[in-house]
Amino acid sequence: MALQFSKDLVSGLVLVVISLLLYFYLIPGQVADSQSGAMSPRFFPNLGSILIGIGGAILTVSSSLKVLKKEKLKESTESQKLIRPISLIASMAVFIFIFEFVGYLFAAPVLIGLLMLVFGARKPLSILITSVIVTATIYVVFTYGLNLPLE
Amino acid sequence: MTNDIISAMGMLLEFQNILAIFIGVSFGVFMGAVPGLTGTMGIALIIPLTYNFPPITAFCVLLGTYKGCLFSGCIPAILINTPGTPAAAATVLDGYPLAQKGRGGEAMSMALWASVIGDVISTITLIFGAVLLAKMATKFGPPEFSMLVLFSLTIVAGVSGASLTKGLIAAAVGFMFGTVGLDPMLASPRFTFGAVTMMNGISLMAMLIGLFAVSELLIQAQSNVAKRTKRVAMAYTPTPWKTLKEKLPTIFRGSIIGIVLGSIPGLGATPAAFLSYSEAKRKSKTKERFGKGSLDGVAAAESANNATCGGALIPLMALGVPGDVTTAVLLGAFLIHGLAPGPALFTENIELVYAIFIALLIAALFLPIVGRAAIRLFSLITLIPRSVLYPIIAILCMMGVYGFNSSTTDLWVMLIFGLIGFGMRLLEFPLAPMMIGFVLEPIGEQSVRQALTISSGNWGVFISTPISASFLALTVLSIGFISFRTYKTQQEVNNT
Repeated sequence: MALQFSKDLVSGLVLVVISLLLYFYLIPGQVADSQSGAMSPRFFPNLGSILIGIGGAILTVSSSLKVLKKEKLKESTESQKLIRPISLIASMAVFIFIFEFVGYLFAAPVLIGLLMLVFGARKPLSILITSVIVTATIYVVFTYGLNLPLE
Repeated sequence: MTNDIISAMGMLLEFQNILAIFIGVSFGVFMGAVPGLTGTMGIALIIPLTYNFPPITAFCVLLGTYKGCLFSGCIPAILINTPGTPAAAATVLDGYPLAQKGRGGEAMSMALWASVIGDVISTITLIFGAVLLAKMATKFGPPEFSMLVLFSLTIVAGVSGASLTKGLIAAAVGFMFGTVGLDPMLASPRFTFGAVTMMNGISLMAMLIGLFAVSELLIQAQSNVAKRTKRVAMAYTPTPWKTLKEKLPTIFRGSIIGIVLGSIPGLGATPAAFLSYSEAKRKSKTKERFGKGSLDGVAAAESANNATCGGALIPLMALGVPGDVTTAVLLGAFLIHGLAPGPALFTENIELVYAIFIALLIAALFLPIVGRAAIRLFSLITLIPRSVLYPIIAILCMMGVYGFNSSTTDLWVMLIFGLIGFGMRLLEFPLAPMMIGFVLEPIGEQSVRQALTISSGNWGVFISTPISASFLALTVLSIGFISFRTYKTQQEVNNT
């Protein structure tokens, strides 16, 4: 029988690791310490990392106890369900790259078209027309209505 | 005072001013209802257009925009689980579940009337009790602020959903993100990784849109594969007087919370909405309905949210201290029109002050008219196919975030928080506590460090005044009560 970890157990362990990374690596490297005797700029980041660590530890222990008690574990997310969200986030990332180089008018139709595909549109004409109309409408509203240049 | 109010009415009650209020409310409703656009942005955009107006006409437009936006953030929150403004995040908790049950129209109507009542109460309080509330707000020094923030953090328990542990973890993560940027006392960089753009910290707008809107898009994309989510049937459903009467205690409580928290600089509408929600849940006989579609939850959040408007204007007008980003922009508007908010404004321009207060009251009365029309108009977005609606929301969010600072870094930040929010939702971590931690960290840190600097490092400063000691006692009591309640709930679960 394949061993199945609960989501809470995994996230608890990940949080503990993040907390340790923050406390021992990121905070000493990224936050200067105070030499003036006043409260150190590290105090609150350290406090945050400790709270994350404690929370992660509690989550790990409580979910481990559930595992020991053989309580019903939550199903892990099936990887195929993540394909569309990944496509969506990739489309948005592509948009930001294109937007920086060619501007809104060329980048927006690409994003809208890609996202329409992600959300199930399949008719090329419908995708083309919607992309153009939405791009143009948002351009007019932002540039002329709200005086927010999108370039 | 009576003579001043009569003179102010004479100054205000002209056609152009009434029209200006109506236009302002309508524009504000539009800005708040479109995810990614905000009232802050709306006010900033409209200031140049009012430059040639008489001051009272200009403030009719600006304050109308402020009020319209405060209300309309609830429309996308209820319709598509995406708060139009940060304060509407608390409305999402019950508004969206109600919409999913086909009761979105009821939720909208309740939000509208709670907003209007909260707004009217806060404006009346402002008119007759401005001096008193301003005095109360000025008594808050760093120790009092510190303890107030500590107490406010206990509201995390009210928005943590099924797991208090996960809520506290989310708040701690938000707290950590709040430390990014320049340290508030010594200005040394924290977690900036050498990037100048990170010096100002993480953009609240980018984080908010990422956490709530982008993560929702990702969830929708995921559910599109497994199962199609139920399309929300939506039509404005008038709230019966009987139902509204039942919710009046919640609305009055929310209004008081909104006025008090709104009048304290640095807190504003978002913590007020969450605290009111938490209090409503605490007082409710049907606590189990909260988070699953409770009209009380919507009424509590919206009344407090809108009541902050009157409260937030007190420190701004009486002391020249902006309570939040929106009132900071309004402060700029005052200066552009040659008026310096502060005690002098009350002695030299008392008629204008009262005219502004009355304009706020008229704006509140316009809300039911504009609000109902807006609900009908924006509800039509549910008729648009998902394959068209979600790409439009995505591009609006991206352009809204970009337009706020003209920064592509903010777009990347939004995307990262979208992924974080998506991961949290998959792992069943609540999003709202993370935002509360993020919003309260800078205020709390600055207050604690200022208090310790003033007291030369003596931690006793936090119990040195009756106000701060009271807040500390309330915090301890609150934690004790939450722990006891969690223990009892766990015992009940174990027994069943």
